[in-house]
Order: sequence, then C-alpha cells, then structure tokens
Amino acid sequence: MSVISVKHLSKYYQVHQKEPGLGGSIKSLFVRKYYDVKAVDDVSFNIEEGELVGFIGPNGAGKTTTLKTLSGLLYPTKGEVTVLGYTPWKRQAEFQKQFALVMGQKNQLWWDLPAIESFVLNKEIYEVPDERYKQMLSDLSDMLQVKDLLKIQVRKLSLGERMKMELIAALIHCPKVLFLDEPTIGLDVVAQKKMRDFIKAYNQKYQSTIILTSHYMDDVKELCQRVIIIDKGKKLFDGKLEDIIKKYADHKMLSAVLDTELTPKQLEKLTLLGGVKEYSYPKLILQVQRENSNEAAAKLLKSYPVADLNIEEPQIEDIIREVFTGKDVA
Amino acid sequence: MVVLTIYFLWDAVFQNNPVVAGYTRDKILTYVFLTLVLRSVILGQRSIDAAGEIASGKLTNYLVKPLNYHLYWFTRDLADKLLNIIFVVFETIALYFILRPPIFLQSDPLTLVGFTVAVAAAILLNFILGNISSNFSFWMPGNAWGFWFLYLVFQDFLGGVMYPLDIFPQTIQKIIMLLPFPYLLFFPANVYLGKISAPDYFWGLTVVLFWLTFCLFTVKKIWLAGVKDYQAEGR
Repeated sequence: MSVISVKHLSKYYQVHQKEPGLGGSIKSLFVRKYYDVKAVDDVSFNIEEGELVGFIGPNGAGKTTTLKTLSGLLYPTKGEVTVLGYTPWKRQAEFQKQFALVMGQKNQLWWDLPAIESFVLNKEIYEVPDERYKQMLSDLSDMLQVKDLLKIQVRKLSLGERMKMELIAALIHCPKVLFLDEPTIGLDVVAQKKMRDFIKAYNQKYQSTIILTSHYMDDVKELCQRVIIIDKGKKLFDGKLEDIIKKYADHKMLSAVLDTELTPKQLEKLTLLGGVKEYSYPKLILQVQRENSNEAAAKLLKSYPVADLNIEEPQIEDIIREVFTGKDVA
Repeated sequence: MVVLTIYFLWDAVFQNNPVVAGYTRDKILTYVFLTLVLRSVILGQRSIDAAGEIASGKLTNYLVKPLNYHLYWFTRDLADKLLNIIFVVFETIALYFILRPPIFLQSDPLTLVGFTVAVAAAILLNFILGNISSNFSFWMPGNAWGFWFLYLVFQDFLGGVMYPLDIFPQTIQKIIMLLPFPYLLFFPANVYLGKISAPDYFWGLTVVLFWLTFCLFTVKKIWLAGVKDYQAEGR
C-alpha cells in the first residue's frame, strides 16, 4: 500500500472581493461578491515508502494547498486522501506523531528561548522516549553541524542556523512522512547546499517519505528522482525529472564557438537551420528541431567557421518555464 | 492606580455611613483588597494571544501536532497566573503597609473550602469565556479584539471589579446573578467574606455549572467550525 494516496483531490476557496475604502467596507456588509478559486483541481497521485518527491509549480499553483491538505490543516472540497492509512484532517494523535510539516516561511521555535528548549517541548508533545530523544538530537545536530548553537537564544541565530534548528525541531520525533515547503527559501547558496545534503542524508538514513516543494530547480534536480508538476491547480506531469525533457522539449541546442565574426548575411542564412537563441561573438547558440539536430549540426560545421560545437539538451529550468508560461504542452 | 482610586473612593463613602449596601467599612475595604488579589489569579490571562495566533496563521504549528490547543492555552494561563500571584503578593504587602486598611481574615475552614471551589470555577469560566472571544478570529482576523473588549467591559461592570454588585437594586441583582459575569469575582469574594448563605452558595455553583457546560459546548462548536474554515494562510 502506498504511504500517501491522493485521489481526485480538489480544494476550492470562496474569496470575497472588497472595494477599497470605507465605502467599500460598508457596501460589502450588504452585497458581497464572491468568486471561486480552484486552488487544487482533481489531482491524483501515489507515493511509496522512502520516496523523495519534488513538487514544483509557480506561485499559487496549489503546491502548498496540497501539502496543507495532506497535513490535515485543510478540509478538501472533493476527493480522498490517506497518509499512512489515516485521513489527515481527522487529526488523530497517532497520525500526527508520524509526520512533520516544515514551512520555510513559518517558524515554530520559541523566539526568546534557546532552540533546545523547543526541542524538549516537542519531545514531550510527541512523547519521545528519553533515549530516543538523545539519540535523535545528537544525530541531527551532528548532521547539521549545530552542536554548539543549541543553547543560544533563537533570536541571536542567523537565518540559516535557525532553519537548521527548525528542521531538528520538526524531526525530533523521527517522522515517517515529511513535508518540506520551501525549506531553502531565503538561504544563501552554501546554506542551500548544506540543507540539500542534509535532506538527502536524512531520507537515506531513516527511509522516510518526503515531499519537497521548492522554487529552486537545484533543490529538485539534486534531490528528487521523481517530480510532480502542478500549475493552476492541475497536475501537468508526474514522473522522472529526465522525462520532462523528453516529453516537453521538442528541440536541442547547438552551442558553437566561432573562429571569425559572422556577416549579417551569414546570420540571416542561419535562420534556415533554426532559431538564433544567442549570438555574441565568438559564442553562438542555435535552437533546432530535435529530429533535425544532427543534420543542422553537420550543415553548421560545413558552412560556418566553427571552432567548437556541442549538441545540448535544453536546460530543465527553461523547459519548465515554457511549461508554466503556457506554451501549449498538453 | 485603579486600586488606589477605588480604595479612597470607598474610604470616603464610609466617612459618614457605618453601613453601605450591607457592607461595613472593614468588609468593603477587604473586598477591594481581595478583588485586587483575585483579579490577578482569576482574570489575568494570556490566552488573549490565541486570537492573534489564529489570525496570523501561527495556529498551523499547533494544529499539526498531537496537542490540544485549548489545554495548551489553559496551562499557559495557569503559568501566567502563578507569575501574577508572585507579583501581587509583593504589591499587596506594600499597599497594606502604606494604607494600613482593616482586613477581615476568614477563619472558618468550611467557608475557605467553598471559597477555593468558587475560585477554581471562576478560573475555568473566565478561560472559556475568553476562549469564545478568541475563536471569532477565525472569521474576523484581527478584529477578535472587539469581542475581548466587550467581554472585559462586562467583567468590569457585571463582574464586581469596580464595586460589589449589592449596590444594585434587588431585582436587577437577581437578573445579574443569572449571568456568568458575577461568578468571576463578586461571587468568590463574597464567599470569602462569609456573605453567602449555604443555599445561595449551592445555587450559585449550579448557575456556574450551567454556564460552564453551555460555554464548553459553544466553544467546541465554534472551534470545530473555525478549524474547518481555517485556511492556514500567512507566513
């Protein structure tokens, strides 16, 4: 049985529109204009034990809404959801003791106390046995290299250090299922990398099932075998990251280094081979049809002063951007 | 400051009258002092912050944990009261030596037991009434304070914070005593002063019990509806 099973999940919100100003406020007491927002619209997927799945989509795509439903914070409008066999929004203690939700933009640590106090509080809330608590705390603080920071007031820590502490607080009960909502947001490149390494190591060490949302493609590329792409509440893609390229990219990139500058005439002729993505001497990037790429490369080599040539797959970021900006993908 | 004002006001009233509304000077001054202490124990509370947590979306943190949000706030309230008691003890001792009021010490053990029960009931009642106010935050984020304000006004005028309620005419008193508010401060204070007869005491407890049950039921309904509507927004 899947650890997480989502069938035809839909979540609609009714949002009320208010005119600006006091007049609008009074008017809204009598006449209220509502419109429905389909935050999540008929999404289905299954996730097996130990999987690390990336959830990507632009702002407002429905990622967080889905995670909140899986965490039991929201009641769905339609559909069935089970996590570890439980219905999340019943919020049974047995279920809650086995999962954790970490939101990069929301903190649970007590601001004025050292992080370790929050850990002790969570230990009591989750009823973690003493031995297990000590073990987890020492493991996690080792992995994140924060042993010396545990007894420092949270407000004195940097954002990166605080995020690490947030993770420890969330993982102290060793959850089987973990939802990470943009855990790397606002962190610098080094801290992002460390955070990724940790998530990977944690996933392997404890065989926990993880769903990760992020705006940073690096997070997803490095961590997730499988990605689910959603946009405007609909699931667009569910599968291996590499398959996105096969599915959506109908082109390849010819990236060439030239010996001499091209004349305007030569440049014009280039458009017969494909689209010029970038030209700043000596660099030339040409976008060509996938099936014509070899032929185009040969022609390029033959008729142009090419010193070096590479045939490249397009960047995942570019493809995803194209998917999101509505280039017809269906 | 308020305490001093109330104190001197009553002190002045008793300059010419030995008994006002059934109170002697001793007893009213004890009432003022007693309500000072009781206020910090019964009315002092932190759970007003729950409204803010619901509005700001911080509730999310608690909702995903195996934790009863109401009990959580109740324990925080109790902790807060403990802190209040420590301060109020110093305050009372200081005021006692400055004003040297005549203090009535209750010595009947049975009355003291009755008093303790009344205080415990008042703490519960105050917590639940405040909780109802906080829960309006689900629908009026940021404006639940209005309900709190309303509740605090009721506390002041119908709870016996400013004056003992016996200064009202009999009929009005009878009506007020059917509301939950006098059981917050006025009732426990009068139990201490020995002004409540046994039948009145048990009638009072019955009224409190009714309100407790009613409010518990209400707050549960509001909470369940609220959590259903809660959208866990915010950052």
